[in-house]
Amino acid sequence: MTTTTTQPTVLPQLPKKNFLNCERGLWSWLSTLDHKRIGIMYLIGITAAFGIGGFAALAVRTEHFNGSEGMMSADNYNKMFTLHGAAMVFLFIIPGIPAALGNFALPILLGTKDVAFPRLNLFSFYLWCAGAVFFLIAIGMGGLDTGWTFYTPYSTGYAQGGGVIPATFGAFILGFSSILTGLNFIATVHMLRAPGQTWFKIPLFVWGLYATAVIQILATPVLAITLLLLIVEKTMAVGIFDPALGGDPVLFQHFFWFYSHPAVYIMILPAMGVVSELIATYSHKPIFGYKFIAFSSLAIAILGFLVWGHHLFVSGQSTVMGGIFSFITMFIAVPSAIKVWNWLATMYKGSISLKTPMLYGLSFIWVFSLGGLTGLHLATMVTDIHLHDTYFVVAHFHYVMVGGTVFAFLGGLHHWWPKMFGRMYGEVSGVISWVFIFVGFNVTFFPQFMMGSQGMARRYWAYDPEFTFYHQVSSVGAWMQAVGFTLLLFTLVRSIFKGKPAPANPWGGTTLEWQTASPPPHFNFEEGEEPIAGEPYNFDRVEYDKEKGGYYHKPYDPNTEPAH
Amino acid sequence: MSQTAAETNLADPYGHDDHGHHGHGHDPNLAHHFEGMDQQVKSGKLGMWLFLATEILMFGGLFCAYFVWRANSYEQFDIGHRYLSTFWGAFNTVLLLASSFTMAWAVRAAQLEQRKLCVWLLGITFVGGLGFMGVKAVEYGAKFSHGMGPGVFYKADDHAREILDAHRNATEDIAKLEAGIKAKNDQIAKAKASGGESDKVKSLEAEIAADKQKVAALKKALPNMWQAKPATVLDAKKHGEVEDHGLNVAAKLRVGKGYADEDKIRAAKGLPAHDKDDLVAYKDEKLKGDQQYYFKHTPEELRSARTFFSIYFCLTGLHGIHVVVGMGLILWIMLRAAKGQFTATYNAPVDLVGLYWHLVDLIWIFLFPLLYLIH
Repeated sequence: MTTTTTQPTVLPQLPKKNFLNCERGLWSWLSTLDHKRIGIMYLIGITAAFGIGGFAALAVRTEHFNGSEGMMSADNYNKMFTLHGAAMVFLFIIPGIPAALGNFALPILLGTKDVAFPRLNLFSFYLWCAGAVFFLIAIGMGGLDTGWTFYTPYSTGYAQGGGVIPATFGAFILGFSSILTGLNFIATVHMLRAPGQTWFKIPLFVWGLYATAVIQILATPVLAITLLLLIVEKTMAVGIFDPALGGDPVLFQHFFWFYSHPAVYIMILPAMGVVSELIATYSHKPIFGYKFIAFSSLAIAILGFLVWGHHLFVSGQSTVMGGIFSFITMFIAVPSAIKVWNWLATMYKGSISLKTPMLYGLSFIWVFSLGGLTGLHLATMVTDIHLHDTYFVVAHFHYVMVGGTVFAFLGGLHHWWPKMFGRMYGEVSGVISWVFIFVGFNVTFFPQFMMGSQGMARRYWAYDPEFTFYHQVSSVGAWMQAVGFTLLLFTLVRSIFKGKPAPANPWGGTTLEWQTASPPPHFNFEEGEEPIAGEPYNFDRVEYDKEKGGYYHKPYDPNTEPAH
Repeated sequence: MSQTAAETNLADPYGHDDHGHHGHGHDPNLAHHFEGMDQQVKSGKLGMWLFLATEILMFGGLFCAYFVWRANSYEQFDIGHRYLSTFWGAFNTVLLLASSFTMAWAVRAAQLEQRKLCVWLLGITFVGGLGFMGVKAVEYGAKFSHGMGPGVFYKADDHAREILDAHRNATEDIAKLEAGIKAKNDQIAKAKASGGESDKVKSLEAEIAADKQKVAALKKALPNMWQAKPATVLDAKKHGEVEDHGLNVAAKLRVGKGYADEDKIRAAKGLPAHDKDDLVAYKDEKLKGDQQYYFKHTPEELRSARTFFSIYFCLTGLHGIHVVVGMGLILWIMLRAAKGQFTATYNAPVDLVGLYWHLVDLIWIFLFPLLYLIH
C-alpha cells in the first residue's frame, strides 16, 4: 500500500498545484467545499472580529487611564465593554480554534480528504457571517449595554439602545454555526480516519476538538432556546423571566450559564489540544501520558456541564446547591492539572527548541495555571462573595481566555502557518511580537487581580482615586498588547508575500499534516500517497535534513512499529 | 474571475459533478471523500442522530422552563389547560402517529425500490402533517379570538372583566327598572284612588310597558352573557379550605365536573355553597357543549393563567415550525422519489428525513399530555 519513498519529501519550492492555487477567483473561495479554504476564510473572519473586539478593549482601557475624566459618557462606556465582550466571545473565541485552526487541520491530522459533511461546513461558515452581520446591525441600531451575558430583567426591560434583539438573534445564529461545526467534527472523527489510526493514535488536538464538539452539541442548543425566549420575552412580554408575570429572572441565569460555562470549555479544550501538539513537537519528545491527556479532555467536557451554578453564588440560590456546585467546580482542577503535569513531564529531558509557537505554548502553561489557580478562589463560596463581580473575576477569566485560548491560538497559528500558506514567517519579528503580547498581557491583567481583591467592581465607569495607579498600569499593558498584535499581523501577512518557502515539515512534527506538502494539495495528500497512521508522536521517524532545511519522515514500518 | 472551462472543472472536483475523479466513484451518489456507500450512509446517520440530540436539548430548555414554571405556580396550569380542547389534541396525536407509521413504511418502500408506493406513502405523510397544522391553526385562531394569545396578546382577563361588568350593570339595571315599575304602579294606584288625572295614568302605564320590555330584553340577554360554570379546586384553595378537604378531596375536585360536585362536598363538610358571584363564563354560540361557556374563572384567576398560554404558544409554536420544516423535507424527497432517484443502495435521504419526522412526532407525544391532559 505505501509508496515507500526513501527520498526526503521536503520540497524547496511551492508544489505546482496546491489547495491555494488549484482554482482561482473570489467565487472559487466563496463557494469552496475544501475544509482548508473554509478554515482560512474563518481565520479572516475571526481576525476581523478580533480587531473590532480589540478596538473596543483599547477604548475601555484608554477611558480608564484618565479616571472619570475620560473621553466616553457612561452610556457609551457600557456599550463599549459590551461590544468588547460580545464580539470576543461569540465571534472570535468560540469559533477561533475549532472553526479556523480545527477546520484547517482536523482532516489532515486524520489523513482524510475532508470533513464528513463539506457542504454543511460551508453552511456553518455562512451562518457565522450572518451572525456577524446581526452584530453589526445591533451596533447600527444604537448598540447594547447589557454586557455580553444579556441578563434579564435588564436586557428585557431597561437596556439602552436598540441592539438587544439583533445581538441576541446574532448569537442564536452563531450558536447554530458552532453546533454544525461540532456535529461535522464528531462525524469526521468517528467515520473518516486514516488506515491504522485507531482511537488512541489520533493526535491530541483531535481529542481536544472531539471533546469540544461534544460540548458544542449538547450545550449550545440550550443557549439557542434561551436567546429565543429572551427575544420573545422582550417583544411580547410573555413573562418567562418576569417576576411580575410569574416568571423568574434567575431562570435566565441558570439557562445562560448552563451553556456558557460549558462554553468556557469550548474555548479552552481545543486550546489545550493545540498546546499538547506544540509541547510535543518543540520538545521533540513523545507526549507524556497520552491517554491521560485524552481522557482528561473528556472528563473536563463532562464535568463542565455540572458546574454552572458557581456563577450564581450570590443570586440567592440555596447554600446546599452552592456547596455542591463549589465542590464539582474544584473537581475540574484535577483533569486540568493532569494536563499541565503531563506537559511538564513531556518537556522534561526533551530537546526544546524555543520557536515562536513554543513560546506561546510555554506562556500558555504559565498563564493558564495562574488563571486556573485564581479560579479556585472564585469556586470557594466564601471568598467568591467578596470577589464576585470585581476585577478579580475579570483578571481570572482573561488569564484563562486570553492567556489560555488566545495564546494557544497564536501558537497554533504560527505552528500551522507554513502548512497553510507554504511560507515561513519571520522568526525574529515573531518572537518580538510574542514579547510584547506576553509582557503586555501580564501588565494588563495582573494589576486587575490586585484591584479586584481590594474591591474594584467590574464594569464600573468611574472609580475611586486609590485605584488610579492599577488602572493606569493596566491601560499601558493594553497598549503594549496592541503593539504586539499589530506587529504579529504584519509579520504573518508579510510572510505570505516575502516569506521563505516552507518545507513540508519545518518543525519536526510527527503527525500526519507534516507528511504532506506545504501547502497541501487539494485533497490533502497526493493520490497514492495517502498516509498510514502509526503512533502519533513517534519522533524516531523524523530526521533533520540539513541540505533541505527541513525534516523528513521515514515511512511507516509495521515491523519496527507494531500496531496496537 | 474569468475561468476557462478546464479550470472550472478542476476547480470543482467536489460534488457538483459527482463522478469521482479518484477511481472509486462507482455510484454517482458517492461523495469524493468517502471510501464507499457504507461509510457515507453511516456518516449521514451519525450526523442526523447528533442533530436530533441537539434538537432534544433545544426543546429540553423549553421543557425545563415549563417544569420550573409549573412548580412555581401550579394554579395557572390548572386554570389554563381547561381551555385547551382535549379532543383536538388527541386527534392531532393520532394524526402524527399515523403519519409516522406511513413515514416508516415509506423508508422500507424506498429500500425495496417500490417507487410508486414510496411516493404515495410520503404523500400521505405530508397530508398528515398538513392536517396537524390545520387543526393547530383552528386552535390558535380560537385562542386569539378569545384573547388567549401569548404575552401581550393575552387579554382574556380583560374580556372576562368586561363581561362581568356588563352582567353586573345589566343586573343592576333590571333591579332599578323593576323598582321603577313598582313605584309607578303605586303612583297609578294613588291616582286612581284620588280619581281623575287619567292622562297621567295613561302615560305611566305606557312607561311601565316600555320598562317591562326593557327588563324582558335584559333578562333574555343575561344567560347568554354569562353563566356560572365549573369551578376548580383552586376556588377552594382561595377560600382556604384545601386543608380541610385534604388531598383526597382535592383530587376528587380536580376530576370533578364543576360546581355541583364541589358544592356537594362542601355541603357534606357543612360549608356554605360556593360563592358564584366571582365567576364568569362567557357563552360562545359558535362552540358546543361544555366548551360553549368560554371563561370559567374570575378575571383574577384568568390573569394569573397568562403565562400558561405563553408557554403553550412557545412550545407548540416551536414544534409547529419543526412540523413545517419536516413537511418541506418530505415534499422534497417525495419529488426525488417520483423522479426515481432512490435505489436499494442509495436511499439515505428518505431514511434521514424519516428520523427527523419521528423526532417531531416524539416531541408532540410529550407536549400533548403536558399541556392538554395533566392538571
